[in-house]
Amino acid sequence: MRSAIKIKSKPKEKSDFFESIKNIVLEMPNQLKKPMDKGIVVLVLLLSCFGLLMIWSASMYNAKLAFQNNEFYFVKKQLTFVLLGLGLMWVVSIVNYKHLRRFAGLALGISLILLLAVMLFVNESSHGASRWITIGGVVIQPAELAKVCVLLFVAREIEKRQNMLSSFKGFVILLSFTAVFALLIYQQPALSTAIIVAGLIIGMYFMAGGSMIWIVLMAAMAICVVALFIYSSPWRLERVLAFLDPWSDLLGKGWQPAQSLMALGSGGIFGQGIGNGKAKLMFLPEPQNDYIFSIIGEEMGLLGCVVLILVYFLLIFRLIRISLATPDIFGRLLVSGMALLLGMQVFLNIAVVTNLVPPTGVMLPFISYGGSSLVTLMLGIGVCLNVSRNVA
Amino acid sequence: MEARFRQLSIKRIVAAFLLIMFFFSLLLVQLFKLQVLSASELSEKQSYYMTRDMPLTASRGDIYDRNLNILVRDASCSMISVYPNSVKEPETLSIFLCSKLGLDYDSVYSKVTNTKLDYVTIKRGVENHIAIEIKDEKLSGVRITEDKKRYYVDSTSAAYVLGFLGSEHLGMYGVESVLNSILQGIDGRQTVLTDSQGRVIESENIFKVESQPGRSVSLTLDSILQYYTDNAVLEAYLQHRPKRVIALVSDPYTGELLAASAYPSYDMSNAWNISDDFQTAFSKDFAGKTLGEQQLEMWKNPFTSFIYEPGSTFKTITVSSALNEGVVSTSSTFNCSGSLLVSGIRVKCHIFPRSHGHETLTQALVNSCNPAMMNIVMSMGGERFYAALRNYGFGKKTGIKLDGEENGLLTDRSGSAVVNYATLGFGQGLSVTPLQLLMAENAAINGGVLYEPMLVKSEINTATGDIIVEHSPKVVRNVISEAVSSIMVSMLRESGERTMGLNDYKDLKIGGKTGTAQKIVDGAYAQGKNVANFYGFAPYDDPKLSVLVIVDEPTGDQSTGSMVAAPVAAKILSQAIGYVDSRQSGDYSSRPAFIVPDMRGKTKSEAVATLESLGATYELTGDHDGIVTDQSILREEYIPGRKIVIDVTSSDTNTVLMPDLKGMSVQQANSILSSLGLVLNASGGGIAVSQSVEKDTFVTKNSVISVTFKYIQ
Repeated sequence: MRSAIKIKSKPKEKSDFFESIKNIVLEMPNQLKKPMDKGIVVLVLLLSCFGLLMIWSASMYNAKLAFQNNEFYFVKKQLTFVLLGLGLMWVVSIVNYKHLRRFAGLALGISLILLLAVMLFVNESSHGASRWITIGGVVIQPAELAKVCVLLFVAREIEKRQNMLSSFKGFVILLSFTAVFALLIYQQPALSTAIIVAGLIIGMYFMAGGSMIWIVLMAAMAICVVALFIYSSPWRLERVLAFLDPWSDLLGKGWQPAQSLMALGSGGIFGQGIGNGKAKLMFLPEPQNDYIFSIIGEEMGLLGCVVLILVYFLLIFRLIRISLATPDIFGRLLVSGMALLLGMQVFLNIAVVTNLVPPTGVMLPFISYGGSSLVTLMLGIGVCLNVSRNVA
Repeated sequence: MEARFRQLSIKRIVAAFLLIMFFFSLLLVQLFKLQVLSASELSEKQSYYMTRDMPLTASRGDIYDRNLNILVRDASCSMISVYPNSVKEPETLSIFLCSKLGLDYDSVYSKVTNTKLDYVTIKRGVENHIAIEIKDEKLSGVRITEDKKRYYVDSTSAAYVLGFLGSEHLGMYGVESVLNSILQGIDGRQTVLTDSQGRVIESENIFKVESQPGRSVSLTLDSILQYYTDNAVLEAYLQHRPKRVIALVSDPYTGELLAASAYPSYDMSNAWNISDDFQTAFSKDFAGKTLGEQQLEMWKNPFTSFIYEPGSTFKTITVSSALNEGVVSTSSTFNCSGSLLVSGIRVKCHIFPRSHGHETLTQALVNSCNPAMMNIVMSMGGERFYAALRNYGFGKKTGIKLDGEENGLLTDRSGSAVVNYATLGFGQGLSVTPLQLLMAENAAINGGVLYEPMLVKSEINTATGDIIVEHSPKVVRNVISEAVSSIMVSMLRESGERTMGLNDYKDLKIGGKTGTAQKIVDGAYAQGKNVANFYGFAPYDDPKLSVLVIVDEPTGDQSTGSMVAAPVAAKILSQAIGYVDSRQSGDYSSRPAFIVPDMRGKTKSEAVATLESLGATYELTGDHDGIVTDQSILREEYIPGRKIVIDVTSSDTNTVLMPDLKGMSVQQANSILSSLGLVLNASGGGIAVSQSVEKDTFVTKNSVISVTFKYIQ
């Protein structure tokens, strides 16, 4: 990210940027000395290592068939992302978050450009959606990156315009900003990510102390728009119908939810043991991705599921605790926003897998297979870790 | 301001946290519902979708001859089935399966798309190399399991005894059908875990009930005697061109059936095909009948269901009964005037208008005098005579372990006019089955014991070869006294010695009686349509074998039992007696152990399996993975120590054995040729009458075969 900043910086802001970068680097030794919240590090490590284990278990059958008997194909790729993410997380954790205000606009700009690029230039698609873009041989998912960029930008905007927090003008700015991002992501199509981004913006507005009138209005509008989107697209409607009764269209849209439910059910309380699950035998497509929780439930049972949710709870709890102790609104929103983002993703993912909500693609944080999501989330956690260094 | 916002913000963050916790608790509730409350239901559903139930075919028992030479064995092959719910592209799959298996597209497509069924069987008995080609294509939803196929050491020998299997590997005819429950075994089942494409996860075996293999059986048939009999029967058929030739060889002292041959017959490995000879011989019977009806006619077992009027061979029964009842004695004399007036009707002797004049009982039998026989019946009286015939087993099934047995025709007319039953004395007015007559005649010469014809010698554990059940000869009853029986032997000895057809075989010491009966067609005796038959045994001073030969409707100059049937029996006995003597004296070394079957056209592995199971010494030459093109010993007796040289040449992918297309329709010929990779060039229409490449010759694939078809009235 920092290298990107160097390339993209514009001449008139040049001195300002260099000043900030210089400050960041100069402050690094000092930041390093301050203690960070090690609990968060332990929980993130725990989650990503558990993720590696479950990706191995979930993907081994498909990987063996597709990649010359190489059951570690997906695990190896994920491992590099985990190492990269952890490295970046550590680096970001010694970047004084206060200087990040300076880069919020730039980050948003890059993320916007990438989203537009996906919209305009990407023709190759996977599963009927264009969500990926290749830059320098690395495939990234701009929508995942957008989440953290939005987080950074919204935190700074709210800090900058605190006085406007309850005004109509502030509401309009917030609304249009939300609409632009949500629509850009929605058209990929990635409705679930759009909902998460919209939810994140509205949630941060709420946590900053925004007016409840505008919040309720925004939330109502968002729900209407989502309902409209679903209603206007036949395949989304089918998905919703399949959600209402997955068994009625078992070989069609109901396949995934039904397979997921059967996997969870067969896991029972204690699970079938890691590696022993059967849903991954091509019953759940790409079980290492969005539906990895089904495999966890099948192999580790209710106990495993509860422990995992508890780990997420602890992580969110620690983040909230940091945010409450943060004196400045920018830092506070960064950390609480991150907690909200994690909370929303965990909830939506598991809600889809357990058929509480209609099927939609949300990744399980730190566990689902995929580099963009993992690295972005770890960057976000890195920022939170730095906040924790400066709070204590 | 700042502080107020901060306070509000902190409250809101806490609220957001609580909201997240609330949503998380919803997840926990839902997980509890799924993983505890609905767990068993969902888990059952999962195993329903992830497991497949499939049968494990029990291996069918083999069939051996009395010396444990293999006759029929189970060979491994494959079964192709499809899981309709896992099929991705039904059209592509159907086309592919049709091309590999030679099936009809519509029927395959309807099976492949029948999603109501868990799995459907597409074809059984598929050769393993074809199954491997199908497997290599890796199409989703296709399952290949082991299956069994019947393999015949000689598929044209003893077809009416052995029978064949239907499509479900169940016996349809012959021993295969009668002993089906013993041979079949019990199928097992297994439940396997599969992925969503129907691929079996071999490491997981959920449920398995092993199949129980069927027992093997050893028949009383002797394949060497069967071979002699087959040859003699075929020779007689070619010489006299009758409708049918039947020959049964038995041990008169046990009732064991040692050989049973009939020609024309069918090929057990291709039992649905009606051979040329059958078509010709039965052309009148087949007229206006569908192929199915013709097949039923062809499969009918002649040994148990060919009922005919025996004629003079029956005189043995008449004379022995009368002797046993004391009605006549060896010193009784008769007077033949060429005919006899019975109940006002003049019944002629067979030599009418000549006559036999004064004759003794023996002379009456040797002369085959009809008036003498009627006199005997009349002096016995109807009731006693019928009782004697029933005692001999006529009019009732023998109980042999063969299919389709008939009772014969014996209507008690003892209360009516004498003429109605007096003719039975010379074998007219009743009908018998070949087995009935053979057993009755055996009783007349073996000391008077009527045996149940025996076909199954023992039941064998297929895996270990241990004998589980040993059957022994079954006595039905004593029919006549030993003394009378020995009189019959000496009478039949004289009859045999004076049988013209046996003149060339004097040294064999054959005793016996000939018979020539006119056939009844539409209720009247048909001129020129005879059944020539002969019952004989040898040697008469110590009978070892008895033979019944029946030639139905012989054509040509000769049509009598003496000239047509007796020589066949003599030919069989001339080879058989020496063989049986050596068997009994334990001198196996100089005698053949089995007949080397025709293995040409079979794959190398099939040929090796056959040779191994026969225990033959052999040598393979040529390619290692080809088909047998030649063999040094073919359909000959195998003498231990001799080596069979098997030529295995060319790859089976390029050469095929030309089948016999004669009698087939254009469609049949086309489907057979295309399944072999040959191209049909048809001319004319109707039934195939000639083909450009002779049958049993090797042709390279893609050759064009010209076949001429003609309409036949």
